[in-house]
Amino acid sequence: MMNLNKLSRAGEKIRLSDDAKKRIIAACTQKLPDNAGEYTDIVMTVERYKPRPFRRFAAIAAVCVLAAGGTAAAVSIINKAPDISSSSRSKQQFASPSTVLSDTIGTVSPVSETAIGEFLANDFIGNGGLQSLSATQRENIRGLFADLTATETEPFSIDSSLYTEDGVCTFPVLQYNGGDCNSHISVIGDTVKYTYAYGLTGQKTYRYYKLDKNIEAELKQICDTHFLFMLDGRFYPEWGYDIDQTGRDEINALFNGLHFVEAEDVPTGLSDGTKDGTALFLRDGGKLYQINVLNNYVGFHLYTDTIKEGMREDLSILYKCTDSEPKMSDKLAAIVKEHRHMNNVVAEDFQSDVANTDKYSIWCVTEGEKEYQLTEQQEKQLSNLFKGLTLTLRTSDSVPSGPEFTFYYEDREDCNIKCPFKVCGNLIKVSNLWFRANDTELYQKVQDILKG
Amino acid sequence: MQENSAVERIVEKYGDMLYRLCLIMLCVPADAEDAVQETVIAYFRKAPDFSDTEHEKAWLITVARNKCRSMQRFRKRHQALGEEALETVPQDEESSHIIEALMSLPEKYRLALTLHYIEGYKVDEIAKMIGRTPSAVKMQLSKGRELLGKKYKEEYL
Repeated sequence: MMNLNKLSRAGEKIRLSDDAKKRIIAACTQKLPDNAGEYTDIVMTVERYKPRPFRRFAAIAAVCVLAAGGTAAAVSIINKAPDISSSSRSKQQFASPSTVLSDTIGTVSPVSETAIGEFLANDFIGNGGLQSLSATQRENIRGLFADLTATETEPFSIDSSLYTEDGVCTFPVLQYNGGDCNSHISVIGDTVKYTYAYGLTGQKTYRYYKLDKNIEAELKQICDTHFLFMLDGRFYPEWGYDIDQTGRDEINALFNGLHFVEAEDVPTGLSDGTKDGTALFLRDGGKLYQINVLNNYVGFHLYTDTIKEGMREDLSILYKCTDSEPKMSDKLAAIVKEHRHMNNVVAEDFQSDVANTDKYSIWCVTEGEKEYQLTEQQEKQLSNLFKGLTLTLRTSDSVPSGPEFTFYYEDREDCNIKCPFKVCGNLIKVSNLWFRANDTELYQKVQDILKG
Repeated sequence: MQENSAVERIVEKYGDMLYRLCLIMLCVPADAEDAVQETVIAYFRKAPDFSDTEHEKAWLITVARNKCRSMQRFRKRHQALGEEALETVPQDEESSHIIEALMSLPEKYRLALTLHYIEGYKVDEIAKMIGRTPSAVKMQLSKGRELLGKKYKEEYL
């Protein structure tokens, strides 16, 4: 085994050169060029495109709800959202400035033939990095631009009055794909400033256009109004519950008529991790959608990869319902309560996984601070033990007490770690649900295998 | 823009630590320098009030990590330099090999090993920083150690 002190010592030798330090200090303190406002936008939008802090509390609230076996439900309420499905993203590479169709200044062209058109053809992601746009929003934005024509004009400066005191622009800025600011368009009235930057701190290229229509207000309205993704019945439920079709239809109808804006404040119940609200989950292949509804707030999350340690959160947005309809979450909870049915998909998936020792490996078991590394034989013995059990969902709210084993297992091929499961007495915890096994000596048998 | 002395203070105090982290995440010195620069800019624009130095350091590490992730996403669409561009690993052979082995690991193991063994953070502290449970971090360290040892042995011993 490697001496890890060597790693520490090796790491300590990595240092910034004096030249690099000087460059960094100079870059941070130098006077900015005339397009300082725009540069400010770029820096601000990169910083603002980051996951919102509430999501952890929302996730905790959701898990607490599930663990209580209370109002948790799995409902497919999201359609095939092409903007968040990587497979549906445009494969078109964004053209470098030299390959953009050139317009001589003064020539009127449809937007589709200009650099703006090329930009819109790609996956522009947000309004100045403050939010991510839904598929509906992007469609609406493309539709807004579709019939416009653009005239390339002389460069213009953006008035400083259009920025707030801390440098945030008050006009819409559509940003290309990912918050790394390699291109964006700023729309002010009937003018567009298009910025293309190669690399985060690389050289920028600008183009300026006048449109034949003032679209700023309409564009802002599209960006500000959010539409929740709707049910399509394609997804299957997560974490032990189904919702019947009538329930899904009612949830569809509940959300369909509502309007949402992105919320800045985090409501109590989501912020302090209590068990308020209703959590809905659905899984679609490698993606997990999670929606937490509390009063008039909806937390929407997309995770890539199934539920396991290290799953990546791709999207997390908090919405607030702007309709006068109060207590949206109470109505949702009532629908869920009436139409949910338990299923056994979690237990079935788990037993299928642990039975497949060719694909999955239990590489570590812990009991408190003690750690067991398993032999191949022990892995097989454990696999046989678990797959032979009959598991039923435990409905009690109390948390099991007593010594427990935690099992870490992973996909052998890509080392992707699955969500750890636990054994406590004759109970097994999988994906935050406790199941009762039909073997009262389960814990003892596991112990015997580990010590064997 | 910020006064020179304030920027110098941050770069002198945290520059090496941030650069280590960014270099191990990105494997390209120029990108790592960019990420450090962006992190320092973010510090002066967005930093909250810190309760102590450790809080300040943890905030910077979190921001640096996010910057690195943005750059990695960007890199997927624009060709990046390979690991051959790596120039600033330590000069002695053993250290160089260990760092190269570390850089060949998946990101989650690299990050956990760097924060624990190079920057000296405890499991609970790392868990808070990266938004994972302590058991997940322990797992990453355990698996990371195993993979690092295996890689080092296969390639360099």
